[in-house]
Amino acid sequence: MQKEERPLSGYRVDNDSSEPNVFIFETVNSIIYEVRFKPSGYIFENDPEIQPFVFEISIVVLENPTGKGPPGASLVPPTIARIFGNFFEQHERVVVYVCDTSDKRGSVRQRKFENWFSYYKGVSYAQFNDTLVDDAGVPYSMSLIIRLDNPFRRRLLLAFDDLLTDYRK
Amino acid sequence: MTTEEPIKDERHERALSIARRMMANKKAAEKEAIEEYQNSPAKQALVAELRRKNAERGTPIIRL
Repeated sequence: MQKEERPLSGYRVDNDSSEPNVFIFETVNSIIYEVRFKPSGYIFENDPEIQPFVFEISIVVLENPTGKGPPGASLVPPTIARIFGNFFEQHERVVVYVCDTSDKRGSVRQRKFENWFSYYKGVSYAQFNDTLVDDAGVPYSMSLIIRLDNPFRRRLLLAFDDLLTDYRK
Repeated sequence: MTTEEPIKDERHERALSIARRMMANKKAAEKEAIEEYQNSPAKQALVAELRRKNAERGTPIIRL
């Protein structure tokens, strides 16, 4: 039985050789996106050994000639998931954090991306999601994405759980 | 009354502090990326080259 039935289309991605962690792509609407993996060791401030391998992802619209908000372009999530894939292929030990406040649009966007990423990742990656809510009721969605063969996997999962578990109770 | 509450509150605050810092960093990174793009001829050239290649192919879409 064929596992792959969905068309695997996305946008062509380029990157600046002087900035290996930065990627750009153009949509059919001529919107230019930048995807950047930014070092973020502070998340594990008590574990210096892991810090060099921790990144956050930033997704930014650099140019939008449409004058409207970016539409829910169906090829953007698979393109970003592909960028994730390439980044992880080059960096075995990397862990990427995604954080967002969960407004309604943000939640829908994140859920779509998570669904697609789950489909796309196969067995090579693992994604863990959780949400914190502050006293004012503002929700913060947090995701951790790692390669399954990351040598720090167990340690990273424990740290992620340690970060969130007590507040969920 | 238990002795566990302060620890829980501390951890709660630590987690929220990191989440807030991540959000602040994310917003700052977005702002920086746009400013950098507006002020970097090299980056603008990279985007122009990407647009040119896509126009030449007739589409920015590829098979992944």
